Amino acid sequence: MGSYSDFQPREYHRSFSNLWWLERFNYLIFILREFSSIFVGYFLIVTLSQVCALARGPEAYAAFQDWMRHPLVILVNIIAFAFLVLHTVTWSNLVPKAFFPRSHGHRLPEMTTALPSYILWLVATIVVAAFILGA
Amino acid sequence: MGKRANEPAVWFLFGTGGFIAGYLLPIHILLFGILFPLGILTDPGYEATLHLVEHPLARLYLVVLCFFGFFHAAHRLRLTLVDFLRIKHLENVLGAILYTAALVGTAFAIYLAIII
Repeated sequence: MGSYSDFQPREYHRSFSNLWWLERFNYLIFILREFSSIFVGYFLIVTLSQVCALARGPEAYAAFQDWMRHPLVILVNIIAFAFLVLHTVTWSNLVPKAFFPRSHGHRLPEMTTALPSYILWLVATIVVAAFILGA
Repeated sequence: MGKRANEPAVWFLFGTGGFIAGYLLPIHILLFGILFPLGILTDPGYEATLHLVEHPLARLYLVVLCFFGFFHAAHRLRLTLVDFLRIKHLENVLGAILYTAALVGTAFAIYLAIII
């Protein structure tokens, strides 16, 4: 018994401020990367309203196009595009962290799994652009 | 942490949604959100766009993009807001709101894909 009874373990609580995401550049990139999800949701809603306008007729679609031409909407879309690119780049760079093929006992370079993701992105972009521009 | 490990279905949606939204949405934003409105590229217009969306594969594309994309966004936003606003105690409420919103968005996409 003796002195050990004096030992009272406590939980360790690291104190951090509500602005923890501003403390380091890495934290800021992390939080920006995670908030790209807002812009994913945002542009899916825009796409749904576009299809909704298409379903309602030419006047509704013209109104949708007018709305998209508003300078503030264009600005938001440019920000959304930047966030989406950040999302796709960071997401592709995550592939080697989750999946690392080996050859002769050695891990293959990270680019062997990240590169296919970038190639798929390029192919998807070209195919979608070809359908929309060729419509 | 243990709770997250019990969510394979949500994680599957989250992971797949990350790829689907990541590969497809940037070009959508670039064309319909920036280049067409600025007049840098010519908008195909109402008739051609409607014709494109009416194709069965385009309808399926819309539903798949919205289903995976909305669930990806909902899941990531739940995890992010819990850390950002430090509201771990509200995680279940937040999750319920976000997943319901994702479900509503997907249902609307299915509805549009059927009626268009």
